[in-house]
Amino acid sequence: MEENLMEENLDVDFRKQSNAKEIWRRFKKNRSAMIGLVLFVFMFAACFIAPLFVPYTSVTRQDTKNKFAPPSVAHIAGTDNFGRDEMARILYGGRMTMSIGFIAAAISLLVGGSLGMMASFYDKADNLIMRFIDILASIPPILMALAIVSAMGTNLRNVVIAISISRMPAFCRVVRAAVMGIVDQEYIEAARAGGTGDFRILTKHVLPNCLGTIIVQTTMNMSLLMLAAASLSFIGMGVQPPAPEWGSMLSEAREYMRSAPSLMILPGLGIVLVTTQLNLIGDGLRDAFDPRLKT
Amino acid sequence: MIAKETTKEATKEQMLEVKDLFVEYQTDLETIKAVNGVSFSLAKGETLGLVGETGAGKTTTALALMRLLPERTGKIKQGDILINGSSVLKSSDKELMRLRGETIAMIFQDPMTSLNPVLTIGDQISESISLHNSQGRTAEQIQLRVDEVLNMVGIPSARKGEYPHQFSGGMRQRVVIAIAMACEPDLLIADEPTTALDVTIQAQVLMMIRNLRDRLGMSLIMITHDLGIVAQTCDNVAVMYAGELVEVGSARDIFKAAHHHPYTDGLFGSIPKLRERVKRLKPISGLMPDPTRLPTGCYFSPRCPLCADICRERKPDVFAKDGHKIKCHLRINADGYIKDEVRS
Amino acid sequence: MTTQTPLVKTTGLKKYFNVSKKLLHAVDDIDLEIFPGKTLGVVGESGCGKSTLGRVILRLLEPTSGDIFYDGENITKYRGSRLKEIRAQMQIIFQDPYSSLNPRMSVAEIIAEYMIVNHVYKRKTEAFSQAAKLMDLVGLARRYANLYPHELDGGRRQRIGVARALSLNPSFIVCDEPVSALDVSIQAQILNLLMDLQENIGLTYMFITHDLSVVRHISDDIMVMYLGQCVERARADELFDNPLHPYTKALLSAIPEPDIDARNKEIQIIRGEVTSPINPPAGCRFAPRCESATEKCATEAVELVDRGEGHFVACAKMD
Repeated sequence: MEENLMEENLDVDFRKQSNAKEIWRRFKKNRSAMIGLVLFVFMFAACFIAPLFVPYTSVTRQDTKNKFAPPSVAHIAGTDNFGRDEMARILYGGRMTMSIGFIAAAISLLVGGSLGMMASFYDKADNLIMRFIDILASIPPILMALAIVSAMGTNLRNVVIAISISRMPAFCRVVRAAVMGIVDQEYIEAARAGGTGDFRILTKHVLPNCLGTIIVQTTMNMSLLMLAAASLSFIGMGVQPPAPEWGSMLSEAREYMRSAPSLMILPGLGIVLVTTQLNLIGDGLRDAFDPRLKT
Repeated sequence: MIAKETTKEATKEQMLEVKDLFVEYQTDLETIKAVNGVSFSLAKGETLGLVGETGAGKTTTALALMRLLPERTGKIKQGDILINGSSVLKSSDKELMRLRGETIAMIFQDPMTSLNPVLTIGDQISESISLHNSQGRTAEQIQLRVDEVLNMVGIPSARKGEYPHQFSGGMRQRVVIAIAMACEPDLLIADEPTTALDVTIQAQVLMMIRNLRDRLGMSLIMITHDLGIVAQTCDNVAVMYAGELVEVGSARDIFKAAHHHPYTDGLFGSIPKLRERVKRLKPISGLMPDPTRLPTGCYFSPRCPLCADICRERKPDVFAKDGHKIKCHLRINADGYIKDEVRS
Repeated sequence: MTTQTPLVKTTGLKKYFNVSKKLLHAVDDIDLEIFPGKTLGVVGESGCGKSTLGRVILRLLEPTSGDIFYDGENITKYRGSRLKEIRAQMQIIFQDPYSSLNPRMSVAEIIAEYMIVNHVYKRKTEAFSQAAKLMDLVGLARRYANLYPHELDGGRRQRIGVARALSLNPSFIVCDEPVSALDVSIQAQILNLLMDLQENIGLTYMFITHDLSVVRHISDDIMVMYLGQCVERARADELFDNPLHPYTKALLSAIPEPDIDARNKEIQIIRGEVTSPINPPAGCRFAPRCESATEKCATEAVELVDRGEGHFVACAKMD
């Protein structure tokens, strides 16, 4: 009450939450994250806009007279062992690799994340869910993916399902740990004291406070998922030829490592660049999401 | 009682002298002025209470005495610290090692964070003894000393094989004190040693610190925000606000003198009385100033109920009477308080 | 006083926690009455169950046994919408002004949240303008409305907590160490605020604290707890002037007084530390630390007995 005498009491508009703007402002300040984002947007756009300019036929059309051609006007990145246009394969392959990564990350997050949240919020479910997750986690991810794919057949859908399941324990544990740290906070008890129901507590008080962790975890895992997809393709259990995918392209090019190294370097570089960019973005997001680091 | 004598006895040996100390924390974004011109001295066997609220610079002052400020950000900008006559600021790393532990020891508010959870308390005490083993004790003698120190703080020496988590909060603080006492320091700095403890345990620990001080004849700097602890343990008191000593004097001066710094008055007005019931507390309005943008003039002026024009414009001088020093413009006409030329 | 119904009343209230197959007696058989417009101070050291007691009364924790009455109604078994209704009447102010506020919500959102959840107003904007009025009431400048809690200091944050607790117009507020985390000068500001609110709105408080000088300042009645039990209960002045239980006496003498003349007062230092509340012995729980304890104290349960004019003491040595 004393304070009122000293501090002018201006009427202030209650602005709607502009959290996203605030987060973007903080993200922009992080140089490495911004570089990562710009490069990623560029590569992403290139891979996903490619179909507008390059027909899919140029990916599969073989030109046996023109194998291992050096870069030329017709083939910017040269041709591969079947005389197919390497650039087109890289672009379409990137689209495939990234799509698998995104979709698989979304599935893992949705399933693993909800399990983790349930486990941390409801004591009784905790043991059941976490022991199940422990079992899942005790199987090496790539082995499990292999088993799933070989049991269900090698097609794109099964590859996505397989790698999603293999990363699920990670998501589940991270979300559970994040939620656990928040459920113990006094503001959750305060919300209960005000008559707030479980659903609103979860969506309004718990989720926003662990969103940062979840988003960061998702971006970081996305790169792991892409690697997993590429690895499966590399050993021939993933995307099947002739469809291009960075992992399978790497695998095919292995035989010509000495004579035509660019065939290996290009898809390899693609994988390295995209995963690095995602990790940089993830780091930047983690810092931007924490208002305590606000400057 | 004792306080009056010590302040008058100018011949008494000064073990610590701090002269016009300035400390800043520099980060990329801002410069925090944590300590702004602090001077005080401490005689052998004497207890000084350093009183103030969070952010007043009490802990920073203590860390500066031991040269323990965070290396990259904390800087001593000006002033000097003399311990037993020699400057701490010019000491080599090796001398500093001896200084910390052998000459000065420090205990902190939270005993758990200052103990290593994976070492037994016996090991932690003997480590401190063997690090400063100027007497050339053998391993056996060190163990004897560990038992002795533990008994001193009221822990049965049979418990020396136990780990910190097996002790309660009060017992842990005793262990911390035992480690500090192990090398018989000349000066103990206690930084809010009982804030984390319950009242009954606080009474036990305070009693123990007082007894140890009297028995070993060491000097003590008691950092606290609790005026009760000050009244019960300190000979002299320095009240700190925004990195400055606003009032210094014997405990009797601080609690009984007719004139005070308005901040000291504010502190007393803020605490509920135990013996009588007051209708309403008289808190200090507002907040501690931002240490990156301190106000011009007197640092307390924005919160001071007696603030005059001069307070906002000019830094106050120190006015003193019989060793009771007040840094306030408004003391200029107070009876017997004359400008302290030495300090200002 | 006898004709009035107490606003809050408990009978035989118990709360035990299961700790690795043993029972932790956090709150053990507490009877209390708090009358409208009054403040009951609950004092005790850490682990004595005072915070648990507050939470059980608010039904944030389920009692193991015993009954809780609010304004004469037994609310112990209330569920769903009735519980929600009664919760609007009883609020809590937390100790830690840092962890009790959602860091992702602005000051205005935090204060308006209860009103939105309980559909007090048809439109959200109304809840926000009511939040602004509450900010005026607790002395928080409106320009802070859009800031986030971490941008404010401890004192202001605690004012947010007070405003939130007031938002549903409660009559009873449990203050769980609301000033322990604050500096003395700020502590005094918050104490004054709470006392002004009590006078102006007629609030009833249960004030939980370990700080005896604060509790005397704010309370009408005081209850001293030790290991889940009430050892002494009396009017505030009576308790301080004439403490009867050995634990209360020791507590009072242990406070370092900010008075230099009290320097050499005799301090009764109680030996040892609080014993474990897990499966406590049958007798007086303070017996292991009590100077005047006899064998009988350690084995026979003690009853809380009125020693005249509502001064209740649980000590066998009083007989």
